[in-house]
Amino acid sequence: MRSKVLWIEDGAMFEAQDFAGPVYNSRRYDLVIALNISDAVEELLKEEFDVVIVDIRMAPGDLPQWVKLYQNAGRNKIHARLGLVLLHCLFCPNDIDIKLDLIPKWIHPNRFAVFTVETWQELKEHLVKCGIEEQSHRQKAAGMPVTALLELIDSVKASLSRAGHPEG
Amino acid sequence: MANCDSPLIELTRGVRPCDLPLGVYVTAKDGQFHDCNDRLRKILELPPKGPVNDNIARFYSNPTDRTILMKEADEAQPPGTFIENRSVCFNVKEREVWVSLTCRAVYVSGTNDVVGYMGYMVEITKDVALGPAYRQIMDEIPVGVYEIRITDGKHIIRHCNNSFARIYGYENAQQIINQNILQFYDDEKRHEQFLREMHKRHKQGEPLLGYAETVRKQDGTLTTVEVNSRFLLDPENTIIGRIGMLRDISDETALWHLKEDIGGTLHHFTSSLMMIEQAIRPLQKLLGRAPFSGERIPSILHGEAYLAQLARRVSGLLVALTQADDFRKVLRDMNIESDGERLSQELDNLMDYDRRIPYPALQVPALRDSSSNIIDLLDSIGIGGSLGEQIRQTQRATEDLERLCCLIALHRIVDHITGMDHHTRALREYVTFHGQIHEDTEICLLRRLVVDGMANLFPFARMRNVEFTFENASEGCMVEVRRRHIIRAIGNLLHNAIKYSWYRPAEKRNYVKIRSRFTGDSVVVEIENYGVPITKEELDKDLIFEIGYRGVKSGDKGRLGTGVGLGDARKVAQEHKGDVRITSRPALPSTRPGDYTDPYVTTAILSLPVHHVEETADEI
Repeated sequence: MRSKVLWIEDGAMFEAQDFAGPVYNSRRYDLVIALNISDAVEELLKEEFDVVIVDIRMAPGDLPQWVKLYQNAGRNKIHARLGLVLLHCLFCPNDIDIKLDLIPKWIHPNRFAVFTVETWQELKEHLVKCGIEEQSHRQKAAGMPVTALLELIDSVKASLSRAGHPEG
Repeated sequence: MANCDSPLIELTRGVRPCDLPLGVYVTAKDGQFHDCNDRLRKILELPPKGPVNDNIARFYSNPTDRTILMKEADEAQPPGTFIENRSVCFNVKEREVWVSLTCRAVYVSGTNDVVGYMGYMVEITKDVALGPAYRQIMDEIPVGVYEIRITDGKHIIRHCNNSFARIYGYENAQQIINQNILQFYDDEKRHEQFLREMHKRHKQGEPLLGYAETVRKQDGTLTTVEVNSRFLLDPENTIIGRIGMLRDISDETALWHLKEDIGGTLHHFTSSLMMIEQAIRPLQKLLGRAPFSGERIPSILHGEAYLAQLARRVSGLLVALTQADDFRKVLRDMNIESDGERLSQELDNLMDYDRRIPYPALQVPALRDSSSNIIDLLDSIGIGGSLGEQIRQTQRATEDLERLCCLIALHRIVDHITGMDHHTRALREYVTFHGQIHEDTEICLLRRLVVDGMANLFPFARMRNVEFTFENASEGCMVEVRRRHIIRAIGNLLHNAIKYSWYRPAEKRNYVKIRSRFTGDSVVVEIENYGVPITKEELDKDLIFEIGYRGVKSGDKGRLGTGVGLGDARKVAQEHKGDVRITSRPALPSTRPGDYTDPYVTTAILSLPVHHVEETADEI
């Protein structure tokens, strides 16, 4: 049975689309894409994923609380960093005003990775707090292989296996 | 002369012993004192005893005040009526002394000839509304406020606050008052250029605002200031000086230099984009005829049919190949059965790609990845003999599939580049020239500006299968504008109209309609497109004009944008006393309010004042 992967990425259909090809063609993963944070929240609440890959600069989608957050950040994806807010929301809910109605039990930092243009140093403080380690962070850059996303997913899966996670 | 002076001499007799708490005086017509009492000597710090060999005119901080006052006294009816309680500022030994002054003209008996003036004054420096509190505010306000007077052709600083002095490196206002402003210019020509700009604005009845100027400080270092100023005029409307406000923007100068660097980098970007685009075009040609007409980006729906057809063909060939007994035997003999398994996996990928990948946009990169893998595998297997022709046939078909995927990707890239080209150029213009007002205006034919704006966008319009229609109902209309800025503004509006146009399956092409017409003393250019909605909130709150703002619906389908275009266009229009407005209404009568899933008709309305000229403009 293929593992389910959620890729939270607003450029998935455009500038980042080439990364999806190798994931599909590996035939090991069912790739679900969320193009904004509202869709991501909906997917996370709807079903369980083995791996979740998060982009940091995300559009809010339609959920009012995320739209408001985006507006408060000057309607700027770079300033809003909604992907990071989502991670805080899931893993440090007491540190943040925005709340989810429910955080599913399967959600654990070990299943999450970050695929973004921001460097580890820029995000370190936040990601460490959320329980996401450096090996689960990949910086997007020109010239990187199209297999980068697949490799990141494989890496999360491998670390789950090593940790003896039932899904590993 | 003696006869003329006799009324003054008569008056003088009564002045000296006058012991009221009022400064009483009699002067000749030119202001020379005939006499005054002790109180006035005290107010003006004149010698306590002896004749007063001085002139009251020199004490006026603003000589115009005296000119106006004397004129009123001369013309008062009936002659000799007192002009009462005028607040006047005297300059007494570099100190401001405010008085409430009452005076009248003195006539030669029985004539209308004014021989002098008499009057009295009370010092009100402590009470005057613009006194200590005002001075404190003026001195503490973090901008330099000043008055410059033209005296003998020199531009002398007459008044200023301490902030003004500090900008030039002095500790307080007194240290810089009475100095010639020219000495603070690095180059006299810069001062002349500044005065030219002042005159230009003055002719338009406006102050000069936001003028950036480099000035020299007391220690010789240069600094950058923002000048806001207007001329001072005398009653005959002769320019006698200027007043204004300075702001030290030396910190911002570093930002200016950075902007120049960014402008330079963006220039490289535009060159690089052009180079890439030019390199890609022959590559597209080399890859073969595109399965879509013209240069239009293929809709994924069209591409799908071709992709499915080619993928089926490759699948069929691969099935035949992988099931051939000879092929399996060769793989076993060569001990590369794993390659055979990988080939089977790629075959599966081709066969179920449309079911497996629910996002049409991602099917192309997945098929390209598969076809590339299949070619590599067939190359590495490298079987000749009886299977040779079958393998070559499969490879050729797979190469066709890969080529189609690459072509679609290349078209997307060219589309992206063409879309980025305007953004990058417009952003470069914005970064490089924003805030600079030194460029002269020209009288231009409106039609020509619109056509130039359209010409810049033709490649992008062609790429998006958009056709311009231009209904010009303002033929011959001239406007006085900074040409480059207006063309950029029109370009921004056109670019948005193209970018946010939706593909209409029923139409062969999409249209951006441009209309121009007169309305009163203005001309409007309307640019209308059919496609992406702008929400009511964005329109009501003018959000779409905020620099950096991108519309709620603007980012779908991967549309690029900087959020500068509309705001920049409006700013440019407003700098020309015009404006940009936007309307957006549902294109279909069935669309309910607030439903932004349907297409909208969006119209950008640029208005500019018409320039009425009798002679032919220099521009055609």
